[in-house]
Amino acid sequence: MKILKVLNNPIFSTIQDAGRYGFENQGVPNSGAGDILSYRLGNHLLGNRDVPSVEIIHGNLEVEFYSECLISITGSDMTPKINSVPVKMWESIQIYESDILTFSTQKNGLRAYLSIKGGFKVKEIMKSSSTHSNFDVGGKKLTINDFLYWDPEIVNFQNKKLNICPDYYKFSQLEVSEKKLDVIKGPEYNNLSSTSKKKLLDSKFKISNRMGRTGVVLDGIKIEFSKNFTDIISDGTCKGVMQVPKDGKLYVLMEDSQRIGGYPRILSFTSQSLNYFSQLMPGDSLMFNLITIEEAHIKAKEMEDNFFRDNLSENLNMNEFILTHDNEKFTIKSDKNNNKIIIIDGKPIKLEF
Amino acid sequence: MKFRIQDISDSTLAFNFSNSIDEEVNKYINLLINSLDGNNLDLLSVYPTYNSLIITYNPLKTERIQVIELIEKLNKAERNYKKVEGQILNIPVNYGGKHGEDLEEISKILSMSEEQIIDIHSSKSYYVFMVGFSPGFPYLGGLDKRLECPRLSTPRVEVPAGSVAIADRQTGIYPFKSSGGWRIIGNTDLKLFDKENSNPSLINPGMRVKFTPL
Repeated sequence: MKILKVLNNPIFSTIQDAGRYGFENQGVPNSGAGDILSYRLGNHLLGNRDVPSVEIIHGNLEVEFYSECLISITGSDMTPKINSVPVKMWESIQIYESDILTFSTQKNGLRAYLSIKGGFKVKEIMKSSSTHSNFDVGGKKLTINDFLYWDPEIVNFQNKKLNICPDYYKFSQLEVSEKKLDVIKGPEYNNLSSTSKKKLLDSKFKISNRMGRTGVVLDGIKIEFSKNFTDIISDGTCKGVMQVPKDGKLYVLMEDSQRIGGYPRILSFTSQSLNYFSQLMPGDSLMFNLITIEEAHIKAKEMEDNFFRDNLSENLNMNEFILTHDNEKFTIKSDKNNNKIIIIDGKPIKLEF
Repeated sequence: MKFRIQDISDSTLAFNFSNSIDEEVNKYINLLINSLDGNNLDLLSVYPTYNSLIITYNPLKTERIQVIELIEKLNKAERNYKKVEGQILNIPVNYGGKHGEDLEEISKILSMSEEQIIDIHSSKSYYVFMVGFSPGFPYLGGLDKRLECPRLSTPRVEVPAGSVAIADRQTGIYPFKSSGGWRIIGNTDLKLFDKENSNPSLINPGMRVKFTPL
C-alpha cells in the first residue's frame, strides 16, 4: 500500500539499498547507498536488514505520510521537521497519518537517509532496488507526486536510539590539516614520481563542482608518474578508488561508477573512510592518511563493533521536541492521536497548530 | 598460470595473470571463474577484465587471505583452456549512412572504400574479453590492423543506442544512448541489454561476436 507521497521536486533523492552485486561481468555498476554506514544504521534502528531507503542528496525533500509507521533519519543533518517541528536524527521516529516530513538544505554533509520499518517496497531489478544515476537499471529519482509503497507492519512502539553515531558535524568543522581520511595504496601507486608520492600526503585536496554518485573530481596538485611509466590496460576498479587521467587530477570513483577503468589507480579510500568522504560537499577540503590494508581491515572491524554491537537503547523520548521561548525550555510531546502536548508546571496542555 | 595479487581497495582484489591482452589468458580467467561456483566465501563480485580476475569481498565476513588461498588452490588444478571455444553470436548491422555517421570520414582517413571497411569489419568473429563501460558494452579484441584509427578528438555527447563503433584496435557496441569517443560505423537493432532478464546482457565475457551486414 501507499505509505507516502512526494510533495516537491527534490534535487536528487533516490531509492537505494546495499547495492547491486553479482552483475559486474555484464557491466552493471553496483550503486547502493553512498554513505553505507548511515544507511545501515538507519535500518539497524528499525530492525531492518539492508532494505530500500531514500538517499537524499542536497536536501530539499518534502513528503506526506498516509499511515502510521516507524521511520529513522540518519546521515547529514538537513534540519528534518515533522509538521514544522524539528525532529531528532539517529533514532526511530513514530509517524502518524497525514504527517508532513521536510528536509531543508544540508548543513554538515551531502547525504541523508530516510528509512522505514520493513523498508520501502520497490521492484527489484537484478536483485536490488538501488537507483543508478545514468542507466535505467534500478529504482528512480523521486519527483513531485511520486508515491512510495510498503507492506504495513504492526507498528509496535519499540523505539530505539543509537548510543554512538557518526559525528559528521564534528568532522565538517575540523581544520583541513586534521581532516585526514584513511587511504591505502593502489596497484599503480609505485609508478608515481617520487615528488608526487611525497606531495600527495602533504597536500590539501578540494572537492570540485564536478561530483556526483558516479565520481568526484578533486582539485589540488598535479599528479605525475615516473618517466618510464606507460598507460595501463583497462582493468578492475571499484568505489573509493582514485584514478589519475592525463590531466593529473584525482578522480574518485563512487558507487555508480563502472567496474572497469583505463587510468592508473593510485590510492583508494577504505570501507570506513569512504563513508566520511561520501558526505563531503563541493568546496570542502581534505587530506590523506596512508595506512596499510591490514590496518584498514582492523578499522573496518572496529567500526562494525562500535556501531552495530550493543549500540541501541530504548528511546524513551520519542517524539519529544524542545521549544525555547524567552530563554525558557518547553518540552513538546506527541500522543498517539498526533496531538501535540506541552507540559507546563507538570500539567499537559494540548496545542493547536 | 602465474599471477600477481593487487589490492584495488580494502575489499577488492585483482589476480593479474598477464601484462598484455591475450585471449588465452582471458579464457583461463573465465575457467577459474566457473570453478569458483559453489565456493563458500560469500563473495560480492567476481568478474574478468582483459587479464585479471577481480573479486570483491566483505572484509567483515571474509578474510583477504581466504580469498587468496582459494584462488591459489583453484589455480593449481590443471585446466585445458586452449580448446575452449565460446558461443558465436551474430549481430546484424546496418553499416554507414545515418546508421554509421563516421564511416564516410573513416573511409577518407584510411583511404579505403566504405565497402572495403565493412568487408573487413564483418569478415571475422571477435572475442569478448570483458563487458563494462556501460551495462552490456562488450570489449572486443582483434580489430584488423587495416581499420586502426584514432578516437574522436572530442567525444560525442550522445551516441545512439545500438551503435557499432571502432577505436584504435578495438571494436564495440553501445547498448545504451551515452556519451562516447569511438567512431560509429553502423547500428544494430538487437536489444543488447534487458534489465528484466535474469541474464540481462546479450553478450557475455568469453563469447565470440560476428557482425553481419544487412
